[in-house]
Amino acid sequence: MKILLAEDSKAMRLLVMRALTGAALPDLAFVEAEDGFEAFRLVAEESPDLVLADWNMADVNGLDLLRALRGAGNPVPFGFLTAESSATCRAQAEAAGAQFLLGKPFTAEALVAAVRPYAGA
Amino acid sequence: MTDTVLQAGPISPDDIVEITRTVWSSFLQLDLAVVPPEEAPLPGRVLSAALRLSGAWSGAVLLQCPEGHAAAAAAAMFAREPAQLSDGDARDAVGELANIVAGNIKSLLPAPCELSLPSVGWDGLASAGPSGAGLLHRVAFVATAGVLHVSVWKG
Repeated sequence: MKILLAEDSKAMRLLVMRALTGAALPDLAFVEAEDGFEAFRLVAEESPDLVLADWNMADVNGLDLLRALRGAGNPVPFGFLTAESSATCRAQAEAAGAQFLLGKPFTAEALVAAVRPYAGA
Repeated sequence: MTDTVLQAGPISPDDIVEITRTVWSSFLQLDLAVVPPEEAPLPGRVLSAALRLSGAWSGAVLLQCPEGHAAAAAAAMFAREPAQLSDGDARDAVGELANIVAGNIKSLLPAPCELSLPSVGWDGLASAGPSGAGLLHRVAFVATAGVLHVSVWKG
């Protein structure tokens, strides 16, 4: 399973990767992006099975990234990992085509449960 | 147990306590105890991270983390010894923690409300707070890693 992780904090990327590495997901591999621009390019180059994105990033935020992907006809499964977990944000994420939104802070168990359904895609 | 200066709004000190303690226990495995701010002054160098909130509610969230606490937080998030980490790693970790605390505080505020990216720096914001804003609540914590202050500003 190849996961593209779009997150501007290296500390958070490492924390997410550690949590998922311990979950016995098949053929787990990560591609890291520091912002939405880089993530958009890497989705095309790497064809990940799942995109996990922060919401609050410089220049192109996570919602803009999702809208750009869907606007380009890319149906890659997409989940938000974000502290922006209000009802408004959840509605915007769903309307834009996100599969899930997991609020920070989250547990490793909740993260794995959110990601596992896409491991066999 | 906390400083409250302006009239209480949609955020209470208890909200700040619950959010911050949950973030610290979830991501750093650190327990935070609440103490009166006057009994827990910020010692030495302080790494501050501020995020602006604007929209239906305008203000800021400020996290002030002394050097030792910042190093411990970065070590936990990077899973490395503090000596192996750079100043940039500490800024990254504290900025992200502040972003998570502020994002959860934002969820308690009236919508629409936008959250800025964190502005992180040593000492610069430690005493005066974000410019143009008045202190609403300040909560002080202590942990094995040292003192931590989280404050919410309005304006």
